[in-house]
Order: sequence, then structure tokens, then C-alpha cells
Amino acid sequence: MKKIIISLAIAFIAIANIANAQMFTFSTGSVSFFSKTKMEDIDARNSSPKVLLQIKDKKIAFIAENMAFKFQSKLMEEHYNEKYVESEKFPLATFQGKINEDIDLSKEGVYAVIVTGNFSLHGVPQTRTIPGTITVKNGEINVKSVFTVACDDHKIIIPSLVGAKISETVEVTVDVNLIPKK
Amino acid sequence: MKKIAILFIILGISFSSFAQDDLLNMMEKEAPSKPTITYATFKSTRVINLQTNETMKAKHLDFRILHRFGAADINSNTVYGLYNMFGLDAAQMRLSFDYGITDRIMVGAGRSNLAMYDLSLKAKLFEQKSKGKGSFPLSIVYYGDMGINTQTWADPNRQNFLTSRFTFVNQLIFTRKFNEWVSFVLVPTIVHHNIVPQTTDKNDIYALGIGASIKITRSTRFNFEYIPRFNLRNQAIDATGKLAYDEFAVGFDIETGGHVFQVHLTNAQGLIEQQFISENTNMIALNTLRLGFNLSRTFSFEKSTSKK
Repeated sequence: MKKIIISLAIAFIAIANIANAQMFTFSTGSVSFFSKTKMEDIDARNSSPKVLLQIKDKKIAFIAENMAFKFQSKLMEEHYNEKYVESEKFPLATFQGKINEDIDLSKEGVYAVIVTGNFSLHGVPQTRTIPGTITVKNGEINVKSVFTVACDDHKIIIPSLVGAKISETVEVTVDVNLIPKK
Repeated sequence: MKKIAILFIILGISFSSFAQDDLLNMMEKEAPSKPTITYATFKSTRVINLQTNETMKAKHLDFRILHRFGAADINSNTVYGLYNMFGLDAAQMRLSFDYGITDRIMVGAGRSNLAMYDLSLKAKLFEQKSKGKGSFPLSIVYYGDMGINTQTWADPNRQNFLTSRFTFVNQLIFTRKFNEWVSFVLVPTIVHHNIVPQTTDKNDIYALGIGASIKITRSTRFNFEYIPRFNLRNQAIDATGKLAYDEFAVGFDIETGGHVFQVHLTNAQGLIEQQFISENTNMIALNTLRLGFNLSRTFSFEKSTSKK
């Protein structure tokens, strides 16, 4: 009887591990954004996003904590959190999507992909189709993407007083290296 | 047999949690977000006159220009205050620089009327942190200031000591941001004057600063402060028999990107604690209230984040 239980337990753990092996998680890189106007350039970088990539289902998800975005000006950082994305109410920016292309991410290569999914910022979700590049090499995966986010789409209102300093659309750059999840 | 069933259930649950579809939930479960330091309890390093828990962040400089008009003197002889433009002719001023050495320690230097220089230190001891494990309900900050009075000696023939020029302030600042809209501050204070005009005067004055800030819109706030003193009440503070009164102020913060404008009405003409807490000779009344402006401009000396 004991043997059966043990062997079953091992079997379950093994299955769980296989499921796990198909997951890739964040190791290095960042999510950053950039706003450019004639008066002021604003850029901020988050070097600790959470990322999960599921090889089999070609699903990918990002979580970026708003408070973890670092600005050159700490005053801007405070304004970003307090006035624009309201981090106390909406602490996270998230994306969850599926790769449209029929590709096998367990094989090495460079893949141009289109990901369709749900991008949520400031508590307002939007369905987005975002292009990117996935590079699989030496058991690691690099994900790159550049896309724009319109503040208006996420109910982020820029007061007219600072309208000349903050762009209505910001450019988001994702460049993350993923390693197999233990 | 029951045990086996339980084991299967447990294994089943753990397996299904690995295989679940929602990657976002999975990530949140594995590493829940840590508590974050509460930001923007106040818009500025001062409520109006009273210190807040806010300091400049590392490598950030705050240049402040503070103005206090004279009493408005609103009566018919002065064309209802227009004669002196509601006190413009008797304006007091302070210029100061405050610099963040780290995110929690700030040093400052300033000069105020009359011939008063001062050096200050502000240090965050505890910071309010949001809900969850490791949270903390309030911020506790130390503020110390040394004033150096550089006026000519009142009596040059007497033996005068350098130390007679010094005044000191020690404060513990307790603040709590209750929600997005309301913040409170309590500031137990000791003001020490090395020299006082009369032998009967006290060198130490104890007071409790009380202040609040209420958010009206994203960029404007209503502020209030009152600083009752525990001693030196109903007591003359100089040879002419002038009484000292508690400081009181109400006003608004208006924020425009890198600037914070503060506009207020106060009964105090002094601009540092040594003056407005212990030497304020204006009672709280309509004809002693004066207009005041604080102007704060922040500069960052941080390198750009885009250059790695």
C-alpha cells in the first residue's frame, strides 16, 4: 500500500515538474517608458517586473509595480504615482496575452510575434495586439517589444497646466531575459 | 484508505495550481506585493510654517522663497488696506536651500529677516507603510534647527558671547496619511534661546504643532495649522511688555509640475520656528492676519535613468 502511495506521489511530482519546465520567468532586463515633448523628456524604468512565459500554450504575462518605476526626478516619480496612475488604488500595470503565431518556443531561433491580450493600467483594461521579438537561445528566452500607450485609453488625465510637458502617448519598451522556472 | 484519499486531494490541488491558466494570479500568489512607503503625505516640507514629514529625496534640492506681508490694516484711513497694499510695505522674507543627502536625511540653510541665519537637519526615523505584513501606521521624523542671530549687539558695551547669538529648535514630527484625501501632523517642539531679554523670561518654550492637509483636487490642497504653547502664556517677551501668541495659519497649496505655491493667511510674521513659535506678538484676530506666500522649486541632480 505504501509503495503505491509513494509511487503515485512521485508520479504527481514528476508531472508537476514537467508542467513547470514549460514555464519561463524573469531574470534580468526591464520595462521602461518614455514621454517626449518639446519642453521635457520623461523616462522611467522598472527593473523588477514579474514575467511568466508558458511554452506549450504560448501564453505570456507581465506584472509591473507602478511604485517600482524609477524616474530621474523623484518629484516626477511622486506625481506619477500620486496623480496619474494612482498607485495606492491601482498598484499594478499588467499584461496577459497569447502569441498568435504557430511557433515552437522549445526550439532555438528568433521569432517575430504578435501577441493579443489584455493590458491593464490605472485600473482600466484594454485589449491590445502588440508586436514583439522572441529569441530562444541556450535555454534562455529574450522578449523584446516596443508599443505605445495612450493615456486617454486608461483614463489618465493630464492637466492642461502641464500638457506641454507630458505627452498624450507614451512609448513603452520591454526588454527582458527569461530563464526556466524552478 | 482515507489518508490516501486526502493525499490525492492535496496532490491534486497542488498539481492544478501549477497547471492553472491564469498566469497573473499565479505570479501574485507566488510573490505578493510588498508594503510600499506612503508617498505625498504633504505636498511640501512645510504645512505652512510647521514642518511636515516630507524631505527632499537623495540628490534633490529645494529652493524656497517665503514671504509674509505686514498686517493688512484694513480701515478707512488707509483706504481699506490699499495704502500699504495689504501689508506689502512691511514684508518679511526668507530664502532657503534644502538638499537631500539620502532619501531620508535632508540638510538645509537659510536666511530670514531680521539678520537670522539658520542651519537645519531633518531625518526620517520611521516611515508610514501601506497595508500588509511589515506595514507601519505613521511616519516619525526628527527636525533640528540652529539659528544664528547676526544683528548688532543690543548693548555693545556689555561683555557679549558668540553663543548668545544661538537659538535652537528640536521637533519630533508625527504624521499619518489617513487616506488619499486627508493627512495629519503632530509636532512636539522645544525652542531654546541661549539668551532672553529679561531675567524672568524662559529660555525653553514647549509647544505642540497641530496641522492638517486636505486634498481638494489633484493639484490643490487646503492646509491648516495651529501651534499652542505650554509655557510663556500671558507673559511679556520683551521690555515693552509685548505678549506672545500662538501661531495660526490657513492656506492652499497649488502645485504646477516642479513648483509648489503656498498661499495663506497667518498671524505670524516670523519665518522660522524660533520666531513664529516663541516670538510671535500678533494675536489671532482679523486685523492681525497677514498674507503669506511660500514658493518651492525642486531641482534634481540625479542622472538620467535612460543612460545605464
